[in-house]
Amino acid sequence: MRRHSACVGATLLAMAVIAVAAGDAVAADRVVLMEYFNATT
Amino acid sequence: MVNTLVTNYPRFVVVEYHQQDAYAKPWGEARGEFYNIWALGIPWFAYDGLWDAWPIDTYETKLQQRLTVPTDVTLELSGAELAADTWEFTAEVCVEAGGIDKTMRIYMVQALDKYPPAYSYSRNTFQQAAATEDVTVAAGACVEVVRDFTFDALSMASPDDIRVMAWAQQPLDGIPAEVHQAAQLAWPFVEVAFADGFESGDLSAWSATVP
Repeated sequence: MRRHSACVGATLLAMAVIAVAAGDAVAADRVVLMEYFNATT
Repeated sequence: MVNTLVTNYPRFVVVEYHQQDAYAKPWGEARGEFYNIWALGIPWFAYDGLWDAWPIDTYETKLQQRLTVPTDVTLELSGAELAADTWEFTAEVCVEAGGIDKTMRIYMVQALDKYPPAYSYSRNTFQQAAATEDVTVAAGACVEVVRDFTFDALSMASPDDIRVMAWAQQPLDGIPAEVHQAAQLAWPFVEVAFADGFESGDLSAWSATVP
């Protein structure tokens, strides 16, 4: 578990560094919403 | 397909609204009218309130495209227990410094995952909605929207499948109404997120789990 967490942390740290390097004025990570309409009949 | 996307994309929130069947709810059917879904029929999928994502073989590429669209809005969702079946949820909505002041309609809903269980495509089926609130947020500022949900016996029978979602959407009467940001919490509503400061590069408080 610890190794897995460290790996995820390192990956996200790399992503954060890339975002900073890109110089984005706004840098929030978008979470996409899907609204799904369906029926069982 | 939706199951695969939910598994593979952590920055992806799904709410399923049944229409005109035994699992339909009035708010969910009104949501269908908001999107004018019957002009095309069901199944009907909206990404970030903008368009029907049909056909199914384009769902993933359209999701990938949408994930790359910048946003200046952040949304953090947290929960606090008030009673065994009642929780208070706070959506903190911010516009980043350097962003654009905007008015947003804040939605908060409760869903039940894998319900009804007889259908393999059942994901995060809508159960109830809180009253929406329109908020105006200046760049560099935040507002909080607080709502309570009491979960019914159906949801409390499968608490691990309870989901609460919030999103910040353009305050319009129908499609297209862009969703700026979304968030989701799962029972027991410990935020699946990072300690404050992580996104801005401050790692001093970060650990594998949020304390």
